[in-house]
Amino acid sequence: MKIKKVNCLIDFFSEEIPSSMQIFLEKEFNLLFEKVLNKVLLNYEKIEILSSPRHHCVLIHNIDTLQKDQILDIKGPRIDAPKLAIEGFLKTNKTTLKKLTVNKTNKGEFYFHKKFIKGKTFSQLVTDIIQEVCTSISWPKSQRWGYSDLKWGRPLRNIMVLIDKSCVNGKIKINDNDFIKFKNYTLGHRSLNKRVKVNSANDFIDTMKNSYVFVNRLQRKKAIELQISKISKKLNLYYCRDDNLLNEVTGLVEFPNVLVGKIDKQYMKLPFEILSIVMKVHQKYFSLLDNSKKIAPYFLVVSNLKPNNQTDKNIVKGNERVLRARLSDALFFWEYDCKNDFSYYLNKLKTIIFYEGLGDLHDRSLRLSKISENIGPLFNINDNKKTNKLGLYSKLDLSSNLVGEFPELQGTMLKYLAKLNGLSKDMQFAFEDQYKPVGLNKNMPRNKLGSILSVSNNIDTLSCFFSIGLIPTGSRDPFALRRSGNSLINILWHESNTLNLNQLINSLDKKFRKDVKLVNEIKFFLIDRLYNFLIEEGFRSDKLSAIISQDNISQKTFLEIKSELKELDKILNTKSGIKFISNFKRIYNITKKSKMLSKSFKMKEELFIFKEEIQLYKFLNKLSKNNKKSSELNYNNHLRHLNEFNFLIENFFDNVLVNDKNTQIRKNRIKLLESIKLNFEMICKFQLIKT
Amino acid sequence: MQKLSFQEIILKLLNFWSKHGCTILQPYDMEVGAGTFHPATALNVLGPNPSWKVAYVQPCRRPTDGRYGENPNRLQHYYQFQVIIQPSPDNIQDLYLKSLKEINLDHLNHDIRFVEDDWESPTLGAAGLGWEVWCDGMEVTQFTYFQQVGGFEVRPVAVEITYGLERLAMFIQELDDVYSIDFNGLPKSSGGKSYGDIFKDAEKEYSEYNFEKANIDKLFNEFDNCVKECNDLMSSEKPLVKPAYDQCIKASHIFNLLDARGVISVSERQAYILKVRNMSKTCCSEWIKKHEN
Repeated sequence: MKIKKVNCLIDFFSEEIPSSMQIFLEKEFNLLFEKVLNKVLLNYEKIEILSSPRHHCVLIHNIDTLQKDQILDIKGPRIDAPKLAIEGFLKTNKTTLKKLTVNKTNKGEFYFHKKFIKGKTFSQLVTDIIQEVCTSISWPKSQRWGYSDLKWGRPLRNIMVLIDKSCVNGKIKINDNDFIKFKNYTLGHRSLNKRVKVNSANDFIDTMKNSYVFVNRLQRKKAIELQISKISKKLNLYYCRDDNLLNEVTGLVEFPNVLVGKIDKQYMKLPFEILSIVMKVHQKYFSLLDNSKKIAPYFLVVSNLKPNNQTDKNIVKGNERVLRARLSDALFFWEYDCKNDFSYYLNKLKTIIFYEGLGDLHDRSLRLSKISENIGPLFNINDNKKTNKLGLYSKLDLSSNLVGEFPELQGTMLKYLAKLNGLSKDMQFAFEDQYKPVGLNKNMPRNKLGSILSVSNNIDTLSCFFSIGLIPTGSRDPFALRRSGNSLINILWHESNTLNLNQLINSLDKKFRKDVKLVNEIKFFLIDRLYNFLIEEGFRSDKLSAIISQDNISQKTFLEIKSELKELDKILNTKSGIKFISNFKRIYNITKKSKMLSKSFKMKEELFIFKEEIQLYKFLNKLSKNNKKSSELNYNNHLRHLNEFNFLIENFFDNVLVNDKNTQIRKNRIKLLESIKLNFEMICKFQLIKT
Repeated sequence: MQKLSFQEIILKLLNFWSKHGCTILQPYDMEVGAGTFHPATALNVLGPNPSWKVAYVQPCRRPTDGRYGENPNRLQHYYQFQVIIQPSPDNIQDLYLKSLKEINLDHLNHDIRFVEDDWESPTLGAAGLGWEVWCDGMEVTQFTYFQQVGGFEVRPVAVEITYGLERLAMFIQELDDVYSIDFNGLPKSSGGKSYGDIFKDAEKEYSEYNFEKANIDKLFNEFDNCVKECNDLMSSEKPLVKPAYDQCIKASHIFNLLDARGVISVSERQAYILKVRNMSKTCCSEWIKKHEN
């Protein structure tokens, strides 16, 4: 049989799979089909993945109809093996001694059996391929249904497999007794409610389109965008592209039909954040902007039904009613909240418990005002009154009705309350931005006040929960304290130059900062977070362990850590640097091995014999002097001398035997090496660097 | 065409699911937060009968959702229409859409959408995957494939369909206010009643009770008593599963009341939920043991 090329279409029809999971499944299908097809040695041009809420399809272009025949060399026993072993090999391979070949390997001469494997046809293999893919998907979330043991994103109801024009008969197992049999049809749009036969794999996309299903995600997305832009043009408004929403909605419909509804005028006075949360997050509507970039009183809903004047009207009417109900809730709360002043909210905070044993939100506000005041100067903000107010007011909106209803508006609501109460713009921004950055996300507060508040929030949260013993363990972190730690490290790394952990801890209340055990726990935790953060940022872990340790972290500012990492990279980029590290490691290993050295042993210059060790001794003195001169340890002092060091130490090792017969001389030499090691180790644990 | 009244919607749904083989049960006679608490759902899906089809209306109480009768969308007492079918049939989505057609919501004329919403009940130790069903943007049903109840795997999988009856009625009658729902389909002059005529006053009273008047000390006591009685019933030589489960339902409602009274802090919340979950877990485990043979 000759190998020909065919196109193959595999259609998995299921109940509605969530939008984000469709994207996951696309990637997974691509990966798994590629893997399995390569395993069975079938060549193909490309794999195309199509997906919609109910259809997930794989289109394999120009795949071989036939596997190539294979000849396998199966290794048998050595030619001098016992007869029994050789006979056994012949039996299992159904062959005779004459047909075996003998090959030399480095372990002697062996019998080999040439096994001929006839290639199978693609249509013979396709069922097994599908079964293997189906059971190998590693779903982030999946379910069983009926009696199935097989898991899928939502119940899998039908499979159709086409090789060019012919349907494949096959089935996949869903439990010990039951199967999903491949059908010669799939299903079209729900409103069509009928079986769809497809003539050939090539026709699939068009046939589905005629059955009101756009199986191509990109096409569907483009169709939505096109309709949106048509409508916005007609209304003389602008569409501000929103990729997240667009992607989500593309995964919610199979036949997009964009309809436009109106928003009652009375709701347009709501802040745009409220309008946008209700519209976008809750209802998945698009909004349009007018000339002055304000939200226009319209919403766009992407319906999943083919256009029809009467039904479209009904759908719009229904959606308008839902939106009205939600907005009237919001408006009621908004107007109620705007009537109250700061002292009302501040008092109300006293009725909301922050956490049992940690007081109420008013107590938290007082703590935050103190911390903000303390760290202000470290961000070059010296207006104590301002930073104090900043902290004190920062949680007010948590006692408003609107935030009770829409928790995602915390901070934003406060921005508006601050505006109403005549607070400055920078304060308003700071209130709004105080929850940024979220973990390792790069979105930072817009101004320094915002950064101060963000840092205050997180260090207060950590110190409070740690103080009552609620420290994350293993996978248990119910208060998301790791994320708090991540946010804290993230913002300090990007926004602060002069702050170190000691200063951060000193900004806390006395009862926290004087508690040695607590302080150590927080430091230990934050070092771990910092480490984790820097790994995420792409730094190598060996470099991090060399520079960051529990002993030095508290005094180092983030700026210093940054520059040390940079300096270290500089060293590693030079030949002399690499040489230095290997020389250093040599010293390190020698001093580690020799346990006989007592601490009280003092180096004596007169015990040195060779010029090479005397030179090294002088070099050590120079290093120590440098250290004393400069108040801070830094690379430059030491690393200027790398070449000199390399030269001296190599000379030393070449000409001087450390293990002298005379104990005093030996001890003296080891002491010299150890002193040099200590001197370099003070700035970086070079022994940990992998070269 | 005359718009369906609240009671006609219920009757049509009952009729539909009865025709499709469901046993029609009556509401459970205790205060529950959702139809799922009915033992016909919570316990029965764990066996012994692998073919279990029931439908019933369940009044639900959610004390914290009360708004003194002033919010047109929020109630502390409302009705769910609950269908539970085990094993979940292959055509269940079609059946559901047919049931909507029975109450004049034809999916050819309305934008019906299945939007991801995985469901979890921490107090029941139950979880499932499914959707909320949107009809022209309004959430009208919760549709869930039960994977776990009481911490135990549900095998075969049961499907739970929970219609929000007030939402459906508001949609069908094209209303913005729950209290104006036409309850019995009669003109005012011949005894016509709106939802508000029947429930508005109760909403006011119960909101006041839930938020302000419920006796806290008594409730705390009662909660402890429920836990104790449940434990006693379950640790005796011949455990009485259903009476013990009743105590678990009761405790769960008392917890909700205490929550509405605002006397449960964040950490305590977790502890209370855990207590109820442990009760329901023991009940479920005993129920399974009892029906294994």
